[in-house]
Amino acid sequence: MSRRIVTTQTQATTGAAQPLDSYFDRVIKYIPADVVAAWVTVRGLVIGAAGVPKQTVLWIAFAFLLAFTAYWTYRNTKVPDKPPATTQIIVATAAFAVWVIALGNPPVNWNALYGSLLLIAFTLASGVIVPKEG
Amino acid sequence: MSTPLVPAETEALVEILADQAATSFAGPQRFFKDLVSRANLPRNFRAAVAGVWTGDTSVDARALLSWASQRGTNPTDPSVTVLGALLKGLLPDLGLEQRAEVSAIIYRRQLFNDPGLVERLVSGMQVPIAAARMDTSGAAVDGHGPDIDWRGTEDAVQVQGLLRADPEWLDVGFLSRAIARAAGVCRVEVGATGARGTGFLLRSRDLVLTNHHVIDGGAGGLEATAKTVQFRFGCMTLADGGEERGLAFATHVDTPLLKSSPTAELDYALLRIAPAILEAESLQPAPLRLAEPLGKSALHLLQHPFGGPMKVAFSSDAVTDVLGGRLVQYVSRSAVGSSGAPCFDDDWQVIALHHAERSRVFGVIREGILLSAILPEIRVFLPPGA
Repeated sequence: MSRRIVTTQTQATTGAAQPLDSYFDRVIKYIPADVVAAWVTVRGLVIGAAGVPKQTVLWIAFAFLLAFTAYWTYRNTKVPDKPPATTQIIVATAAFAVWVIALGNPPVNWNALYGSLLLIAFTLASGVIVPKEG
Repeated sequence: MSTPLVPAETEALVEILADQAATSFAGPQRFFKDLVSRANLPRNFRAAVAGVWTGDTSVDARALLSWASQRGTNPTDPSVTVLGALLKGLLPDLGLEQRAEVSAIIYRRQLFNDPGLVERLVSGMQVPIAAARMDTSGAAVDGHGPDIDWRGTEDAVQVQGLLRADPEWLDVGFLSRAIARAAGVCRVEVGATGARGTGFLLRSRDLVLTNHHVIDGGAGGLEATAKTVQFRFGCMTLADGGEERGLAFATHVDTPLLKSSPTAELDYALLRIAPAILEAESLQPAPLRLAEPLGKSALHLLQHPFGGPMKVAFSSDAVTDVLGGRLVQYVSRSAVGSSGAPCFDDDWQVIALHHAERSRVFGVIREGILLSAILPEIRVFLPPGA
């Protein structure tokens, strides 16, 4: 099943017809859960490792996964005869960054409370965004 | 046959009579004497109550009612009882509310014997309404209906009151026009792909308009897919919950597809039905309207949601936007299978061809292609004047 957010649907009873995504569906589809899971694993490994520059490694991992999120979302939302899901790619990539901030130090040295509040606000607000490419 | 007054009615009449007597310019005693003299009673009846008035309006009113209630039909005028004769004379002096109340008592206690007189009273005083203001024991419950013995759960009723709107009144004439239009709406069944949609007859009676995407996707191309289409008219739910098979027609053998526009453009397909349909005179097309609908105007869909029996979605204040003279967006109810449904205005004229739904921040809107955009492309296939 495509991860692409469905916002437009013709209404014949064909196998291709999918129900439109509601606000809650959009909230879920905007979260790159697999990449966030990868980040949590990588972060745990790096924190537990000895003799490595942890901050540097984590920043590199972050940059890589940020770019990977954009590519991964593009790949998972690609549908024949439809334009790339640009809105979803941008929001999902931003969502990954917000999750990294919310998960806290290292590498982001931010107050954990602010990170959590940012995550809640971003997640709730993201569902309001309805991609035009749907 | 008159029936006795119940205590509540007696009290109501006493109050009215006492009130009238107390405010009479001639004084209470003169009021009662005049009332009796106007009632067209026999001389001996009038003599029986002459000189009995005490000046206490309530006492005199109660005494008069008690005396008149025992007298039955008026010997001088058998069309009324004695009490009816007195109250009949009283009516012109009363205000509207008191007049309605007295009329209700006359009606309920059958104080008038003449049916014509009763009929004039009923029509002139709206007696059933006034009568309803008293319960069966005659107790005055002005402004309230009978005491309903509700057996259900109070909480559920109150919650319904909070969450549910009252049922809508639907004009039966409006509904009958909707039913008439349903005769020209069909389910489009595509044999090659298994897809189902909706379509509707056009004026020539052998042409059906539906969406391009309904017949798209077949292996042999649009033309080949069109040959596998079947149109099923009158497919509705039966009383036992089953589905009426309706009248089914195949596409025309030689020219099944006359004209189409891709899904991304006007998303229509004009299909020709086999000539057998011309013999089914009950299948009549709906009139078309080419004007753009106004914002917040009504829009109704006759459709086959989920490819099932035909359903109608009424929607007032439906139209949210008209885009570029080509698309109309509206709030209504549809589902897969509704593609190709005719969008009607309040006069049951087709204004658009339903084709898709789109998400909005909260909720979903539907979209149709305006007929004014489609018709110039297919007009050549329609009879003149259509």
